[in-house]
Amino acid sequence: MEGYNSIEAVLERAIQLEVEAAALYTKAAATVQNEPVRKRLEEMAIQEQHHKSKLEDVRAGNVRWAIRRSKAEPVTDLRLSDHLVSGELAPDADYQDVLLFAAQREKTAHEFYKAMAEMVEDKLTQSLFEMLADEELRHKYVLEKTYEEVVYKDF
Amino acid sequence: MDEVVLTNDSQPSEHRFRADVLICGGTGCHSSNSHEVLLALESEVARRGLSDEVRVVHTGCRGFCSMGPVMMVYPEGILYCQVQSSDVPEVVEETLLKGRTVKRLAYQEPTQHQALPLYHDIPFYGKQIRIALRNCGLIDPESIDEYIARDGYAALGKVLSSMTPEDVLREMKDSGLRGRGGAGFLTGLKWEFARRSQSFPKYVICNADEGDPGAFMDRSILEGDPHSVMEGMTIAAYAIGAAEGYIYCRAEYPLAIARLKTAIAQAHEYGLLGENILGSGFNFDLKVKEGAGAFVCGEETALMASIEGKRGEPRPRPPFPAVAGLWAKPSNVNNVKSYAMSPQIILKGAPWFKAIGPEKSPGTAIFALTGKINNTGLIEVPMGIPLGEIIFDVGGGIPKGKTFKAVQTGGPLGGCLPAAALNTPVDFDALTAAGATMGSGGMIVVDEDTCMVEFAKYFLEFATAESCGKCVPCRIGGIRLLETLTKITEGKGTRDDLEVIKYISKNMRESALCSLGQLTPGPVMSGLRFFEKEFIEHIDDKTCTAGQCKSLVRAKCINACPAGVESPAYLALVAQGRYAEGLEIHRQRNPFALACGRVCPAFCEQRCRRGEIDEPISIRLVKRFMADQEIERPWTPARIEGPKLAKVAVVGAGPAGLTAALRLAQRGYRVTVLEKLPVAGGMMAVGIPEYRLPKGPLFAEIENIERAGVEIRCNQSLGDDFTMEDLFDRDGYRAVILAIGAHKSRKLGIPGEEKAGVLHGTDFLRQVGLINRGAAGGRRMPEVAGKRVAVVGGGNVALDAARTAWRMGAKEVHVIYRRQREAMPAYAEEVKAAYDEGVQFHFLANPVKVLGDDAVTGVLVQRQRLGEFDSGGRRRPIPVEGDEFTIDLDLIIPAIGQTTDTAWMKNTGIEASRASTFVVNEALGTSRPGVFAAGDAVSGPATVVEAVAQGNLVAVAVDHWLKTGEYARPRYETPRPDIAQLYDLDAYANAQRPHVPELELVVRQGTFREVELGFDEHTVREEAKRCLRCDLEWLDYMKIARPQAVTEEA
Repeated sequence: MEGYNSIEAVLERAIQLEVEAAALYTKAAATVQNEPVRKRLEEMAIQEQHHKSKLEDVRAGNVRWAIRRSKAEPVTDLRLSDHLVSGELAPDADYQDVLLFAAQREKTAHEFYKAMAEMVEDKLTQSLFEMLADEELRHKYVLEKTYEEVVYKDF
Repeated sequence: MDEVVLTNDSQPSEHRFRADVLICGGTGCHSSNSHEVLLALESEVARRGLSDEVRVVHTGCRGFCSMGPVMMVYPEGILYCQVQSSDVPEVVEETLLKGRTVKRLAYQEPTQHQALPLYHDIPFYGKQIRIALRNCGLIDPESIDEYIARDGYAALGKVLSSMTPEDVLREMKDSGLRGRGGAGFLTGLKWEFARRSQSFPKYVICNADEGDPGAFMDRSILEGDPHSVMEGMTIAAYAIGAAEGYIYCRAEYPLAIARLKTAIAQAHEYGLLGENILGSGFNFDLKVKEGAGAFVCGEETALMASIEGKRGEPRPRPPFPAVAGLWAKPSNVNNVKSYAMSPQIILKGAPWFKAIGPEKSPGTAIFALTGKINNTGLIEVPMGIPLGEIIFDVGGGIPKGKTFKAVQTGGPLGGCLPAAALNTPVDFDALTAAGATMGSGGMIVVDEDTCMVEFAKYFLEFATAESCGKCVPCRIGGIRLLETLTKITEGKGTRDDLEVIKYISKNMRESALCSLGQLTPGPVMSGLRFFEKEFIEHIDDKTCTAGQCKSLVRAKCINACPAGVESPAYLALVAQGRYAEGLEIHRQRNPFALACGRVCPAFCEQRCRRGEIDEPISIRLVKRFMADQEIERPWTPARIEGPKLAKVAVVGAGPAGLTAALRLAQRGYRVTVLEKLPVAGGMMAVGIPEYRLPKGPLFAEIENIERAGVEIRCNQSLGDDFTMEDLFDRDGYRAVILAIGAHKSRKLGIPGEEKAGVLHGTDFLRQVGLINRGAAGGRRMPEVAGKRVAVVGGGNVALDAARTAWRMGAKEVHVIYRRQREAMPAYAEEVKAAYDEGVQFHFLANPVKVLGDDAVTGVLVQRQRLGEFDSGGRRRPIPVEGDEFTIDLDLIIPAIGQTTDTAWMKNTGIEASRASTFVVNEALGTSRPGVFAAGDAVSGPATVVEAVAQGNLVAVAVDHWLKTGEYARPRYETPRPDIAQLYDLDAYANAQRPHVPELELVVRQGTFREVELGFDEHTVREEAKRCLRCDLEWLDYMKIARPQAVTEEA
């Protein structure tokens, strides 16, 4: 596990990433003026907190429980936002900005978990990371689907 | 795909022919006179002395019914469509003698208009796997030899010579075949139950009582390949230990019955039925029982009662037929398709069958594809195929460019699914989970013109008429459901009726005796689940958007117009030369007749009933001529109420704002319109280019509104020049209407978008528009001449930008769009005009990076492929990794969508949605009391006429609010104009829609002169007389007297 000494270290980093993501969305929610967009950011922050608690379950030794809490449906990567540019969310950020910002964060998280799943040897932990990777991809799918519906009206 | 066709190799002793010509004799082709084609071909072949070389075969149904009569020529595998007997000499000369295809008879692919002469290239067949239909359309169904030549009765031979009944049961169970009659019970297991029953005799029964509207799967198999069903039944009889079987076929299928009887006689003759079959000692005989056509006899217990000579009524189960069926003896009842598949399973083995489709629903599904679909016909597809692929790939999509709305699967007792379900895999479990059923195989596709309430009612009418009446829930419940739905379609429904429907449906499902009663509520419940909005619209608004419910729809054109413009009335007046009166009627609902006569997408024409016969009336261009007659004598709108003290401010001088201002001024209010730009007109002035909407007519119409007393102040920007507080507190307005449009272009979001040489669509058009409309204000025209320009997007803004850039002398103009041409939201005529003008289109292409250091030098484009269906029913583009190309450019104009600028909204107390549109209540009131909103800022970017419609409504809502202090759902009412018909409609039965002259291509570049030149008076008056006057037919329907003809034709 390149860069990580133990499974604990991986989990620690993963939890840290989820905390950072939740904080990022919470901070953005406090800044953005559009009320419904702000609410959407808050929802996303809560989603990341759920991930964090799932990872904490794993750290406490409840891997099976964490896996059971995950969905197992296949998910498509639409790759709609992969080539787009997203910056920090400004106060005047609109839904387009937020969707793009979040989709790219989900992409980063998906790639992190995918890499972790490939690195760990324990099958159960591997399943967990694969599921987390899928879950992040599912979030990305929903965000990109919405992006397409809202932004690409004529495209 | 089973590609083998008749080869003479299997018949070495017979004469070998150089070519086989197969003429489809299925019901569809037969009704299109395929028999005449057959006779003509036989005669022509004989006349040319080719009888020894060419064999003519009359086959069963090949499935491609919409293209019938269908002819196939082998060995080349050519398929000819809609062949007439007059085509035969050419086919013989060109194809049979010279080996060339007759292109005009080849299948024309509907989207690309490409001729596909070879059977294998036709998408309709490309995704099919034919098991039950393998012989249909390939063999002469009346020849047992041809069936045998295609491995017919080989499975029976295998069974009788080398398999025990237990082996057969194991093979069938292992195959996972589920009953194709609809319930999807495991066929092998059912056979096993019947085998285990130790009572004799036992019976094998084939359920061929196919009675669903629009279904012809079983009929086609029985007509096209009867032996396959008989072989399957004989194998089943061997497996369960039966010696006697019945095929229960409705008497309405005389050809199927005749062919079955012929096939039975032939099988007897060949020792394949009767005593000691194939010398095995096994005896089995078959009888055909003709049913009287009662739908309930498709239910197995009712079917058996009918065979017994009793009234066709179901009885409770258990006991199941496997224990006590026909004459209380063990019986196995399967559908035609299940039996037809069985011999192939025995012959090729369970693993082969199991490998097709999903684990739990293996094999193929057979559907009769009907309704609003290009390729009506009979298909057999692998289970698990997405619903959308059946409809768009196999079915060829929706005719006339209309939008897919829903698909009904499972026949009249199934359910309908919306566009969002197009990715659903077609199998027993997934369809049930999605809210429909697999059923026996009827698949009815409907488009945007279908009312889902009426659609559910249609199936309910069928199901109630077919109820046997034995049990109360079905007999009474169905009738009550039908009465309730009828009330709703007549505009007399209430919200409580929806609860009544749910209550009755639940009870029917739980307590009806058989599946007919239990499933009768299926269509209405799925309709309510997926199209509840449409039911509510009938109840609350008394409208039927689809234009189907006769009581609610006077004429489809009026109904389709967002502003409800009375087209038949003004067409009738134009026909008489009474233009001013016609225009007056138009302006009661839409003050922008001059503008809409030029730029309206004409929703009226899209639904015009004449268009179902030949072509729709050219309503827009008739309107344009009518409106143009008044430019010299301008209109002053009439006051309909006395003057009032209350002042109303309208922010935004687009079509919604100006219409609202006019209607309020007509009601006596003092109205001021505040416009940010230096000109009024909104997107009509700075979005739609001059060559589509010249400034003369546009400004004339705005002046009309000013004459009503509306004051328009330009260069007044909300947030900069005034605030909401200023309007209420400083200026004393009692109400404010926000009609600020959606003028802000969406960002493309790709790297390099900030470079010099990227100019967004609405900004580009606004800059050009302001200068063209005489409001330059120091602005300079964007530099386009001699440049290479690419517009990104497929909407009307993109097309307007592309055609504008071309007019401004661009060296090259490209349009880059990530979907395919058919999916473009832009008007088809705009796309065609852009093509004509030399614009280069790049479809399934997505720009990923702007190239260049500081300024644009090009764009990197990634190719896309079509993936799953999106919620709107379009295929979603998916990037093709590594497939990129570059276009060298100087200017990029992104036009992917627009939104409303909401930067000024902070601390105003006005809420916007996530998509930056205003959040409004049913009275179009925003979250701040006294502030209303209308137009694109509420609906998102839309058309002029949709904005006008909202302008009418918001004016009524504001008027009500000012008078009562309450919000109420507005209805914009105008008197019904009944205009007499003064000409003989029959005289215009063959009249054609005229083509509008256009500015010649060579003079278009470099100018913004109007392209469409309009009609002359004679053409317009003649065209108006093609109108079928649906409005007068409605008067007859409602028993209201038609208007008397009091005016002589001018």
